[in-house]
Amino acid sequence: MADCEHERGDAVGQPAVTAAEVLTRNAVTVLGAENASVVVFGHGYGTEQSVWRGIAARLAQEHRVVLFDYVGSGRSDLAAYDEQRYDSLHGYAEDLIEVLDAVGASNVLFVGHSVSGMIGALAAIRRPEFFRKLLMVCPSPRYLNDGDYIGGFTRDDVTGLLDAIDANQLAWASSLAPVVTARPDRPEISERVREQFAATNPRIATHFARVTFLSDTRHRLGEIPVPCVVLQSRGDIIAPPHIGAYLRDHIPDCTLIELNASGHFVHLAEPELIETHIRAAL
Amino acid sequence: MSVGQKDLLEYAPVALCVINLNGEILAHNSILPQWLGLVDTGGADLLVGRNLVDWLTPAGRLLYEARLIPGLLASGSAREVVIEARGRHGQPASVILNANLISDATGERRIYVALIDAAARIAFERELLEARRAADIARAQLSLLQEATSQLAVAEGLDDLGRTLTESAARATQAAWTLVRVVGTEQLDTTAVEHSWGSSPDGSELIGTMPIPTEMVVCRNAEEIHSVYPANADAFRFVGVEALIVTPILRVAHGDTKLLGAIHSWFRRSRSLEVDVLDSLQALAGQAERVIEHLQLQERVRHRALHDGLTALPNRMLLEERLETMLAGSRRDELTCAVLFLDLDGFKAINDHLGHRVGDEVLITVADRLREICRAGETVARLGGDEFVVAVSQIDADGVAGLATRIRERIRQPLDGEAEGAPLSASIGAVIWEPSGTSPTPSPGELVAAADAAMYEAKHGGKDNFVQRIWLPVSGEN
Repeated sequence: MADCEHERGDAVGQPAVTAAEVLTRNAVTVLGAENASVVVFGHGYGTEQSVWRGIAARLAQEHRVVLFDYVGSGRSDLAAYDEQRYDSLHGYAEDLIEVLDAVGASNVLFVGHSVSGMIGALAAIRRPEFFRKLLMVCPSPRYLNDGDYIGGFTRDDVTGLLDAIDANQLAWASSLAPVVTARPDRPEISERVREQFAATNPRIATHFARVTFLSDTRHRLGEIPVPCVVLQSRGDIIAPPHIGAYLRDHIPDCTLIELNASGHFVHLAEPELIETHIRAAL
Repeated sequence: MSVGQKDLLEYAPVALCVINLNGEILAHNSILPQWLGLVDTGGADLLVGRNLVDWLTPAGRLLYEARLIPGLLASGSAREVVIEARGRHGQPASVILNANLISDATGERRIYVALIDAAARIAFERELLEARRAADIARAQLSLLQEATSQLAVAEGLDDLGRTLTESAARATQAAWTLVRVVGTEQLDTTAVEHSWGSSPDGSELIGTMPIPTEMVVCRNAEEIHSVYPANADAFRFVGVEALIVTPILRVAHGDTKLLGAIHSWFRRSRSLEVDVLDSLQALAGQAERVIEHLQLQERVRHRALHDGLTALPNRMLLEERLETMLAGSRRDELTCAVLFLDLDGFKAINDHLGHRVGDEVLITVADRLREICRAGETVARLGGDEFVVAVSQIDADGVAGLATRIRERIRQPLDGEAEGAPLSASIGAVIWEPSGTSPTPSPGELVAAADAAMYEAKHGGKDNFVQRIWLPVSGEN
């Protein structure tokens, strides 16, 4: 009777998922040739896999390309959002590992925008065998200021963001839901999904924001077992310019590339530039 | 006087601007610099080349970058977005923002922005929001506890309790791992049996077996873990624990504090762990305490119904249950089993001459001696008076004879205390059942009666004796 239901480990109470379940859950898209080198794209907070669509389509001409949505974002299965699992970036790192496992990818170049950079780092620390290299676009290991470390924001700023998301949730849900959830292939479910989206997503949006902007990955940087390339843009509101240098100084094998481009969504503003750097990293 | 579009643009109480994807202002009307507290020097280009984001508060910037821009890119427009700007004197001033994302002929993407001053209204909505959020938290907390209460009310055993507590605590905290431990609830168990439910971090045997504190321990980050558990801080760090709560389940009665268990919550990131979370856990622990008390009472009642009050050995009712189980197991696995019926010789004399109290002490001594001889899994029961039964499985005729000999030797050993010097021995009758083929399984009552009959034979053949019989089905030849 003792220990009858006692589990240990990283499963966090989740039953094991099958590859097919992961493909649906994370809305995984696989493009390009088989047996080619693999590039996997991770989206950042507030976006979904479609932000990589253009770059991915071009790369798919010579490479195997994997796109997915983290649970809670894009076309992922919102019902799979588990507040315990996704209460830290580790839950998202588990998504990434399970996606790589489900598509049978290994030795990949992982391209992660914003918070996906650190999600990729945590996944590579857990399962180095999946990764060849990490390319982080506008990453930050810590968004909050902490002593001498300048992350750019205070806890109050993040609380203000969470308030603002709450304050905007109705307007936001109604204006964004139809676009995000439109499923031309399955129109019959769109209304149900829209309702679910409107009901669920503000809660997820706030929780994901909390987990992202309060995350602190600084103490794990030294453990990253694979080479990293950091693309740092100028005038990035979310990740201040000196963050790139911080990462270079704390990740064992890290190349910092300062882009001649500005903004946090540099992959949208300057897709050709980012594509060049991805190809260089391949 | 005709009114031109230029006048409309300049005097309408709405700030307008066009920005690129990086927030750089490409054009604006004169209301915008006025709102931003810049003296309008007449140039409509005052802000051109500056970044709109510079006039947002940090929270506003985060919203702009993390939600507004992705939303615009996804849908092409944003409506009624409440965003915090810095007003004339640097103070936060919320505005309502509408925006359209438009690509020109060259593919250049621009954002057309309209800002409407709605500071007072937004401030009021904020207050409503605050109130609603507080109400939501209170309601969530209440419904959590109500659900836990109704589930605990029908808890039939420790497993129900453990499962409900684990689920409720996980919901209250969103902890990555929740483990509920309940220690030593069995009344007659001297060893502290520990039951646990839920999950704990990898390699944390250390963590799970740490002593339970008598007060709630809350560590919100790695530094606090280090100051509370200096010796284990590395172990916590290694498994990725960055915050934790230990909520003891206590019973305080008559100034005495007894530890019943704990709810452990481990987090993979620093957490602020507000008072509502801690309150919920305390309330759950309080409920758990009452349920454990109730279950222990039930346990005690059940124990009493199934055990002999004097010797605490199983009584006839529990013996029957155990025999049913043993016989079914023997039938299934085709294993021989046996029932030994034991009647004390010399006990009546002790009772008659030394009194019932001494007689009772002798019965307790006999019970202890039988317990010593028998292995775990064997049942020793007292049927009443000086009659005892021992049930054994996986044994052959020689084994039964050996056991009977050991029992008789042990019973014969001199008594201590007031019964010192009084002779005591045991007459034993045994029945062995060898399940075979289609022969019917005897009932517990039949086996006990047959063993009783064998005991009578032993007694009549002279006391301190042993008679053994093989059980034969009624249809067979005896």
